[in-house]
Amino acid sequence: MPFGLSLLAQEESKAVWGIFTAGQAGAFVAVAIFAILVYVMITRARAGQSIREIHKIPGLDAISEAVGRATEMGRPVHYTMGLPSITDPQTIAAFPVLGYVAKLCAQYETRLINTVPDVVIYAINEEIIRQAYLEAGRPDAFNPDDVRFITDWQFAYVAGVLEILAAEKPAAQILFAGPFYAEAMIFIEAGALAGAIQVGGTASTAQLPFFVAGCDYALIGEEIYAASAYLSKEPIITGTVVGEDYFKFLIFAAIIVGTLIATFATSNPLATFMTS
Amino acid sequence: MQWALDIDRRWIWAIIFIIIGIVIIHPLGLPITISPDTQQFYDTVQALPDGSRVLVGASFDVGAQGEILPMIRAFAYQAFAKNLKLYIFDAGWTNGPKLATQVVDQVAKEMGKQYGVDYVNLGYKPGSSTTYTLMTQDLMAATKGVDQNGKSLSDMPIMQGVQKVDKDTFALVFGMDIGTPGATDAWLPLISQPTGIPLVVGTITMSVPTNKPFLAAGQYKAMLDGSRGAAEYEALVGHPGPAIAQQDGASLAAMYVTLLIILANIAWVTTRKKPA
Amino acid sequence: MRKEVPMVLTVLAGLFVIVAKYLHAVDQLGWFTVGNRWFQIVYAMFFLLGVVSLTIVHGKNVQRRRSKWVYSLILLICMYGYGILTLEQTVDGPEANWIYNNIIVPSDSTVFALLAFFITSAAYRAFRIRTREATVLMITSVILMMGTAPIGDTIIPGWGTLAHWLMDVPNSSAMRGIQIGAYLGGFAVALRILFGLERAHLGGAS
Repeated sequence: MPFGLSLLAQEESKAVWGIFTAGQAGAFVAVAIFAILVYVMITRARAGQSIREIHKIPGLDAISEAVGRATEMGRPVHYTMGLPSITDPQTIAAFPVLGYVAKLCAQYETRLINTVPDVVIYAINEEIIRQAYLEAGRPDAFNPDDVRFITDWQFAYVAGVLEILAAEKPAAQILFAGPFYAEAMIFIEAGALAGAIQVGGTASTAQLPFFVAGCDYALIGEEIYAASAYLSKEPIITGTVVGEDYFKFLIFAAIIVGTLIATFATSNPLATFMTS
Repeated sequence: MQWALDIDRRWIWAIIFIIIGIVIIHPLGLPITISPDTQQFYDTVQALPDGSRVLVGASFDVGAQGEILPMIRAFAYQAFAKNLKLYIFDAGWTNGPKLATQVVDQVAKEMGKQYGVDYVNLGYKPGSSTTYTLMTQDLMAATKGVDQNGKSLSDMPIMQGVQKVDKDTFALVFGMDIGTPGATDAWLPLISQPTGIPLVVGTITMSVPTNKPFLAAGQYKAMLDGSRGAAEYEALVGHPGPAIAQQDGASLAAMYVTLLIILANIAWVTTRKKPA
Repeated sequence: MRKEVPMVLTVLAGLFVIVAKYLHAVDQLGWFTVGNRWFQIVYAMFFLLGVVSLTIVHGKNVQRRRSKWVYSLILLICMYGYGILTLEQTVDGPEANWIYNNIIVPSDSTVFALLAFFITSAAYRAFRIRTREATVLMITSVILMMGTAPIGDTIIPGWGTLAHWLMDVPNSSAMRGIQIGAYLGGFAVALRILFGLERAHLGGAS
């Protein structure tokens, strides 16, 4: 038995309803409802039935303006994802936007510098940018040296980016989508010092105020997750965002019902179910 | 007033450097009031039975040491006065346990406490969520049976009777939150909630807004709110230290930034072009 | 096939995690933990890529004597030097510890401290009463800044209480809303990957 299996096998716990891991039954039901809602919306979109549209997101519209400005000024675009991790959904949400920016840069013949503090993301980003240049019909313009792994040490990465911002003076900086930590404010202010137009977006709640106050355009919270649907204008992907919104109504209902039960009743069956 | 808008940022930085430098040399000694959050933290620790075991989740790094280490120092004073046993550990931040132990060592020396008897550095053990979860099943497997310096844990008196992190063995978890992993995504969901051990949290000022909802919901029993919380806690345990010393700097910096904001707005209002 | 094979692997891995996490019988087998360990091993292998990237970029700088090539040389010496040193005496060896305590800790703290300066100048640049929302943002920031420092209560008793109320009530409510939305959005992304709709991580702009 491999290491790990033997350790866990010692720990016998009871199944909920004879099927689910203890503590996960409520979560599974919620996940299943969410998945069904999203699937229904995708099916509707595939069948050509009408689904709601995503509202205008000025931050995403501003990306092409930012790249255009860099092109006019003959200066590069800098793209950072903060401190990304392949296990973080914010990072996954950033990939389509990076591809979009790379394609725009390739079309406009503008240099794109992507700095990365994570080795896995470095490999993925290089591939995304290479493919984007290929799709734009300019594979020769792709320079692998402009996708730079600096270090996975937070403030050493910050120092590296500060040097790049000061030396290369990018005309546009895209900070999308995270997770971002203390480095965000430093990048935003250094970008402003370099004279860059800045488009930022993150779901890292602690950094949101800095993005809102410091960037020219900011996407907050779940807006970043709608980016790929918004940019692709693909109804099937938009369906997933609409499904998510319907699920939100269910959550609001659960919050209201849960609050009423917790306030007026002695026991809370909803809470018991969700943690069962 | 155009000069105020065009001011070289280096002047702004130079003045804040001078202001903070002056109060470090000549502290103002402004009185510090105790907030309900810090009082709740102190009371929660004080209510523990003498000799209880506390798991100290050292999820932080060098950058946050200015705010976190004073919390751990003050906590060590309160804990050792109650003969609590401290188990310092982390599975996500390589330097956290080492930095925390350096401070606990100093307090232990002062209070006549012994390493291996009253406290132990279980060390940084890689694996993140896997290792945190493993702690609740088999602590020896999670720590590989050795402390930070490779000494066998089974020989230490403090480890007698400790098989795993559960409610029967540990009375409290004191977890830090400065990023990922931290209290919100490791100590709460992987340790405190599955085992039922109460969780108290120490966080940096920047992360206070993100952590507040968890405190309000009762998922955290108490929380120290950044450097200010650390200063209040130092005052409560009766061992003034670095956090209290930082507060005068924070006060003057807050005043300076407020004045800057007022100046910038006056300059902006007086110089902006009025619509025809 | 370039995109299809990784996509199928991603879907299978996603289903594996769901099954291993939620179903009791599978959870008892400990597959989830084993899967996590595999992930760590694969992840560790990627560090080699990082080292190769740094060596190529900075090696070229040194070789072609580009501007500031000396810094590239220092970087390469530090990277390989510290790597060899810690391989020889572990990260807790005396010299490795000395370098950590006397070079890494002060440098890291220095760069972190830049934040104080940058926040100051950013506040000067960004907090303008351009719109009603910007005015609310500015006033709230001043209340919180002064209220969380002892000076607030010294000037006006009760300022700290107001700051705490802002943090506890309006902030917590907004944070909950944003966090719920963000988690749902993150989950929708995960579902898109699971359904094979999101492929950007496999390369390309679409």
